[in-house]
Amino acid sequence: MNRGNGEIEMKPMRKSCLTVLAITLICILNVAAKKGKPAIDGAALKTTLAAITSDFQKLEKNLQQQKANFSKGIRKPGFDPQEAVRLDRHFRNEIQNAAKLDEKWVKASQKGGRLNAKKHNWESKITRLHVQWVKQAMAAGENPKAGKGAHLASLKLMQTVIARSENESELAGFRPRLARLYQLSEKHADAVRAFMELADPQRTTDARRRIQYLTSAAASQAVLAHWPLTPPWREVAEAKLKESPRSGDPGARQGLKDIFIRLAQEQGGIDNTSNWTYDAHTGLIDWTAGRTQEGMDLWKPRLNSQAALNGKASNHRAQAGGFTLIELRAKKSWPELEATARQAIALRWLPVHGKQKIDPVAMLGDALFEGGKALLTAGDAPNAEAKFAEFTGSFRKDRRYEEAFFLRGKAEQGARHFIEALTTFKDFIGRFPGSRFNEEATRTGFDLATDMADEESGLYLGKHYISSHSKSGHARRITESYAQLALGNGFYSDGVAALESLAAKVKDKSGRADALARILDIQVLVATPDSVLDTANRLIRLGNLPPEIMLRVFRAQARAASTSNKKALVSRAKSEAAKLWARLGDSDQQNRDAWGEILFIEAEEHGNKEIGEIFSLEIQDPTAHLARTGAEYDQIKSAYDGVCGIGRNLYCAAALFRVARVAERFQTAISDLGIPDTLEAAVVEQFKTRKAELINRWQKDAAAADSQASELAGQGMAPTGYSMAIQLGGDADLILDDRTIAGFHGFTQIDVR
Amino acid sequence: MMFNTQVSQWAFPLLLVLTSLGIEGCVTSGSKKTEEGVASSPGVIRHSFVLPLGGTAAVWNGNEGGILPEVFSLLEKGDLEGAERTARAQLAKSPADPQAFLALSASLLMSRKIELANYYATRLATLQPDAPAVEQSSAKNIQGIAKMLFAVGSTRNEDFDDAATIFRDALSASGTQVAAALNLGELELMRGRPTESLAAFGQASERCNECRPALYGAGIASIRARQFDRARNEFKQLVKRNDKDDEAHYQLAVTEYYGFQDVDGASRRLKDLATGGTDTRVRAMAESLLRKLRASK
Repeated sequence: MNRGNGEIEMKPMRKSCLTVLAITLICILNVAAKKGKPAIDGAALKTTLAAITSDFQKLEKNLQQQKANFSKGIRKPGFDPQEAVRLDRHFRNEIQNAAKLDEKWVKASQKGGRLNAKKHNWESKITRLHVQWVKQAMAAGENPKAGKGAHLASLKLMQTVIARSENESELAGFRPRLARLYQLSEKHADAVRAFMELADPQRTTDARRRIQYLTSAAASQAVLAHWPLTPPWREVAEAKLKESPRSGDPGARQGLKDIFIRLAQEQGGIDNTSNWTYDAHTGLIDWTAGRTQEGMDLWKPRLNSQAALNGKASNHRAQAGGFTLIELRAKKSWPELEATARQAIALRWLPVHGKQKIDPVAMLGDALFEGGKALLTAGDAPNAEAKFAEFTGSFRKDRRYEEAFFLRGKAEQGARHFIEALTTFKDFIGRFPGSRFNEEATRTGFDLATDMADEESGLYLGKHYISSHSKSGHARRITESYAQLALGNGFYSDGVAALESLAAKVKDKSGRADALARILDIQVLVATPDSVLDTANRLIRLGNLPPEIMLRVFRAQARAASTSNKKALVSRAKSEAAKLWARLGDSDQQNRDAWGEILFIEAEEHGNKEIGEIFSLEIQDPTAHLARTGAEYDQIKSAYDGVCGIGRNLYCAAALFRVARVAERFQTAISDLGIPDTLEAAVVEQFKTRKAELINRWQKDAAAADSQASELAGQGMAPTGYSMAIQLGGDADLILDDRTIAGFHGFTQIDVR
Repeated sequence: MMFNTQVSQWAFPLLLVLTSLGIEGCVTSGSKKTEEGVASSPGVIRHSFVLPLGGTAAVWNGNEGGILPEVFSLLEKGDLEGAERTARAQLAKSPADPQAFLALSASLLMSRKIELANYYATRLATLQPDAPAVEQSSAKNIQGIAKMLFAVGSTRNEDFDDAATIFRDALSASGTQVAAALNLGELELMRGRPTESLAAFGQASERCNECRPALYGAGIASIRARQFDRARNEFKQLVKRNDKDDEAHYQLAVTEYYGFQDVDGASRRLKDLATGGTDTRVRAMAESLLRKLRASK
């Protein structure tokens, strides 16, 4: 063996071989001497015996030397464990050689005349030396501080001894040591197998020793599984111990887990103080294998315990609690997270996840908020309501407080706690005016208020919506609805203002004008004439509007002006409308109706004025009066004829009806008009002829106008206020058939299920 | 489409005089008030009734049976304030309940709060498809009334056309819808189209088994159309059904006088009304017409 310094060290085996060869040579020489020589004399015998004794002493000395060398060598690094096997074999050979030398000595003694010569028990002496060496060698290797070579040497020696032994008692004594040597020799698989065999209750009845064996087995299995002996909370938290191809045999960790489970079982029941370590390991092994639920299930009973814990157990509980909280949050297991967080707070776990402290109160907040959202999505509004109520009650400074407040309203609504929901939505929009949920809260609240027929809330929320969310996609619907609600509750200015705001948002001028014209239509029904005129003026000021819109504006203006007795304004409206009409032509029914109404209003204004004047005049010259009356009639009729002159329109029938009534009025007015007979006969005759002509014409005019009006009314071409009068003539007032707005028979129906 | 209570007050001065319409219809087996609120679940219609604007009781009852929920019982009797209050209470407990919405909308309409009635009817109509077709139909009918009243104000034919379309939609939505046909008849009469009006009242008559409002409307439309034979038949049928129907008696007298120049027959009928009629408004009209007839003699 090259010892590294150039010297060649003779190996014990070679030395013993040389010794054997020397002895053999001596024997051969002796035999040769016997053959050639006579019986040994005393001196020769003495010499022979001394030589044999010397041989033995050399043998013994050699063994002692080798034993000493072994003891020295075993402590050195790089020691070859096979030396133990060789020395053992050498010892066993030398035991035989010692026996042979002893036999030789006896034979030589007897040959030399010492017939009672006895053996020296050199075999026993060497055997004792061997046993002593074996014990020492094994003990040296069993020392944990000995080198690996010593451990292996010891192991091999022990295996050799065990193999030779047939003594069961002796073997039983060797097994724990062998297992231990496996472990020391880093033959962990063998160590685990050996310890687990020892931990078999049938083999080892003492529970305490079984636990020791299992603990040792766990230590070796941990090496195989690349798993630390202390529960690796921090490493697992930092994902450093994930099961992977590099983490060894895939079954190693399962094997380790099984051992920990055995250990936990051997230790007895759950008391929170003794078993936390094993369950910590077991749970963490599951964790690294992705079986987090199994880990949590394992820890759960311990976490539930209210027992006070010492330092280590307390740490395990804190880590297990932290791991559980983090995992439940990661898995979005909100109900479990909530329950665990509450437990952590109540039992003061002070949870941690590796090095990171976990705040159970914050976890409870997560569980309540996210859990509430999940419940709401799943349609479980009653439970969601409870979560959000607690969250908004306890987590006022949380960044999600605003959203939770809003969702509470939705949950309350879903849970059919409508009054509470409406209150929440109203409260929300006041508290969080800039919230991204403000629009939805206001809209949802508005719709809910409508569905609850809570008009006060509806008006409040609707007004808020219009002022705050005018650009929303729902703005149009809400605004229209709010306007209707406001008008329905008598808040006309609010309602009209809402509609105006809607109109103002219409981008194209035509659309905006159309929207304003709609407002005008509404105002015609609900507002004072001055308001109508105001809106009409604003529309006119917009300028450059489509002529059909302007025609509607002038019609409203004419109506309102007529009602307000602003005759000049009626004329102006007519004058402006006439210009439009010239541009529009008569192709559109709506335009004709509008223009027809303006003409009709103007004709009425003119007719009433003229009739009022002419029939209030004092008659001084009957002939002149007759002439003037005829002229006035023609003027009035001409104005009404103008209504029909623009083509088929709704007000033509009304104009015709009015012509007939005017004609009747004029007939009546002049029927009693006479002329003094004292005047010149020709003058009197001329007067009478003219009067008859006028009456005749007016009668014909009235009949023709009524006939035409009736025909038009039957076609639905008459304003509602005129149709019945047109169709029933003078008898209309005696029939219970007033189908104007005043006499409308409206019916509603209820179908009860 | 907008309307409001102020306009209603201005617009319906004569409605009060129409309250005698179908008084006989108010006493029904279904008018017992024992149930609270309304039933929200769709099911077979077990009772229908039609109310006139400003009326104090139903003018037609169909499929009578069972006990009515409180709000409907109140409506049927014409207790509009009570019905509105009950419907609102029900909606506060059960928002968007189609039947409660309808009851509220109807009671508001009956109280001439047209704009609000239309507001809730519109909301009910937008609840499709959640709201059942029957409630949708009745909601459309209320919307149609609001639109019709708007048209009266705007005097635009296109608004009348829109209202007529809504009534037709309501009729299409439910085969049990009667009120929309009556309203369509009224609308056509208002527009001066008695032929179309007769068709609508005829449809109502088929659906309500010749109920009084349908026959009465058809009679009025017949007078307008100068179909006096038909008018006489309709009113005769009504007085035969109920001899205390003063309005029908009066219209029959009008028909006899204007349609058939039966001055004696008309005078007798008017004299009976003037002396024994229970409807003061009709009595006044009868006295007036009687004077005219006597003068013509």
